[in-house]
Amino acid sequence: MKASQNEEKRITLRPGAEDEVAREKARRQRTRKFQRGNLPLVAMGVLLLLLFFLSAGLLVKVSPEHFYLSYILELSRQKLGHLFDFIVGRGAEGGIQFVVSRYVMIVLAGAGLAACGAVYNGAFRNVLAAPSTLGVQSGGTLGNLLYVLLFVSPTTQVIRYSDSLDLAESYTLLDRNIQQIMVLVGCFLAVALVVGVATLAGRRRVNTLYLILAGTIFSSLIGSLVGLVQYYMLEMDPYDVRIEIIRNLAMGSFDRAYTPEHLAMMCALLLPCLAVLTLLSGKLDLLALGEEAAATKGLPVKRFFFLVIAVNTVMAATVIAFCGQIGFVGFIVPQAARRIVGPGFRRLLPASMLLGGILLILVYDIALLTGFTAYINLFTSGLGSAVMIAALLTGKGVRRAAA
Amino acid sequence: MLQRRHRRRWLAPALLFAGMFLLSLCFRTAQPGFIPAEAARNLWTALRLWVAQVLQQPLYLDRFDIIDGCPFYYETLIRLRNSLVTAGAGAAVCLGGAVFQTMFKNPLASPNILGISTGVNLGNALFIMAYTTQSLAMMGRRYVYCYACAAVLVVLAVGAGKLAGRHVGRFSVVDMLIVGSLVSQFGNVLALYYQYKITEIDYTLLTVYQELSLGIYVLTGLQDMLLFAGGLAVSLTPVLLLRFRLNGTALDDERAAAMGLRPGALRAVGMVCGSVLALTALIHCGDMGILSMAIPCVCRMGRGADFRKVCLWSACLGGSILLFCRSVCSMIYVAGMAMPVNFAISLVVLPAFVLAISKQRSAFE
Repeated sequence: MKASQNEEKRITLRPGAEDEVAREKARRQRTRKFQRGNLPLVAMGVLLLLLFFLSAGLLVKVSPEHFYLSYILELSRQKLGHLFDFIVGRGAEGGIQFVVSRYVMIVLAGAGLAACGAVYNGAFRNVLAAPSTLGVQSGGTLGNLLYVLLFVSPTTQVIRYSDSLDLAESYTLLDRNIQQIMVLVGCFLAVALVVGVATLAGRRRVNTLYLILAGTIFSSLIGSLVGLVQYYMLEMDPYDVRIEIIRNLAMGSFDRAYTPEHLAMMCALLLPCLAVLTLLSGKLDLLALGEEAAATKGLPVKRFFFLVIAVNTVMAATVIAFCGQIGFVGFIVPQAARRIVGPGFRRLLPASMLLGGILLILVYDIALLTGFTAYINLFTSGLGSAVMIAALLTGKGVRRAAA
Repeated sequence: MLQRRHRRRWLAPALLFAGMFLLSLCFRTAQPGFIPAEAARNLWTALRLWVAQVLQQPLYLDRFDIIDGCPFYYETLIRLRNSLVTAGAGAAVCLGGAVFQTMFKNPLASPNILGISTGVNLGNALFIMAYTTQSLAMMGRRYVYCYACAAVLVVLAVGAGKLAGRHVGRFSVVDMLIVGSLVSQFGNVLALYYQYKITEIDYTLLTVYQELSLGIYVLTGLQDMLLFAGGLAVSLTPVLLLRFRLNGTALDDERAAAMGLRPGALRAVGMVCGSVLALTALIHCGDMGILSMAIPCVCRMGRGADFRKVCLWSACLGGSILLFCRSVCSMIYVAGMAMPVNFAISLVVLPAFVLAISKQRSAFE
């Protein structure tokens, strides 16, 4: 009898013990996997910091006639000294505060655009889906056009911040940034219009085709309107400054808004969005499974979809308002990030942000050295096309690379 | 009986087209006005003089006196050529759109997604970069630049699409469209960059660029007209000959093959012809906004998806609408220049397009 009780006890104990062991094993495996999976992220972070300090502290542009190594080294040493002084709080010399704020803005812009691209790719399950699909860029162009027509006189002179800090300080915050505000408002209204029309057309269901169609039609309409205004301005006066202001928005540049004040405004808009997206990364994975699968997992798909669109619009609009249009970052970076860390948003999102920052710093540095800082969009677009063709040549189609 | 009904079906769009063509001849744009009687007399005189010249009749010797008696004679003749190019361009661009929409069954599909309008813009920019202040005198060279740039972009898009489909073993349409839109984005940025470069040379050159790409000038010299007609003939003939078979490309590949068609080859022909149609129109008549997307979509709503009907209706309706918009726009003078046509087209076409899409909701899902 006793022996049989012992036997029973042993039998009942054994499964529990096994469970415990298995759980412990799984936990260990998970932590090991977690660490191994995070390695690329850590590496990207380190690379980003390294690039940031190298670019902000050492990179100097010299004209060809002053191209002497000793001179360059001396300039770099000075700049590094300024950067160190700025970081430890000994005051800013040689305009180093602008250099730092500009590079931080570049990193933020890259991170925002890349996160935007990654999220849209997942949400629409299409590698082509980008902020421009919903008419953000056209909205920005419209806002900029309204700014030009309402607030800029044909005799305005365009001045740079670095040339006229005193003058800029004599204006109020609103006066200084009315262009950015108009562009932001234009972007928001455009996306609201496009999404609203698409939802109405789809009988209160979010339909990707209608979204794309409405976005395309809106973009085309705004494109022809801007063309019309530009045409008449040119006909009246070919030397009109306002044409340049209209055109500049389409060619991304970090030379127009780079003061610490701009940085603060950009941070206030971008950082909350990035934080929200990071918090929602698990649900983004669900959304990427498809509408029905996500709904069966208990996700309120429609509400979540609108939330994602709103957050992404804020991010894209901020970047457009402060830096102009920078194409292809949202296309290249998620592609590359997906190959490095896999398709899960928990890692894909931070990886995209870090890679976006790295990419834009590199692009800006190259543009700075070659004297093309006013044409950042040209560089990113060229790079994007090259990446696309490379993706095709390596045998994986663009579409499948995204899946 | 059946034949007669069929004939009547193509009669209506043709009549609309012809009516709009004649109406557009009656407008006078240098000083806005409507002069049907004078226009008819001018055209009749032109015809008489032309016949007299060919037959070497003495009437031709008195031509200066006769022309002096006709007010606005030369203006009507210029309008005739303008209207010919405009009508042809509108018809061609919509026909190109109809071919693409039939093949891809998608209202978004239009030749522009392969980078054609971008190619034309880039070609214009490069042309002005190359000839700077001489460019208005060297218009013949513009065609080389435009056709070459558009060809490069289209070949890039189609070739890359082919590459993308290589491991699946067949042509991948979606990949080609993705690649095409990316390529045209890049082309747009490049064209924008060259606009900056143009202004570095001379600010007034940007005006020339704008006028070329918006189609303010429709060139109607003999060489231009011949080139235009040639481009249309080369691309229109295969489309018209294959109009029955192009319907087969809307089916899936296996069914089309079962019907004895070769869907791959047909799609390739359709794509090339549709592209050349739209390209010719865009180069000769400037930007036309959403015309190539909207009109075929509206026609598909009204007349069903049969390509034989859609191609006829798209061509006639597109030509008529472009003629109408150009006639109206050419009379609206702001800042001493006529209004560009693309915004007017958007305004005219947009309501019908939106209506078509909202009614056709099931067709494209």
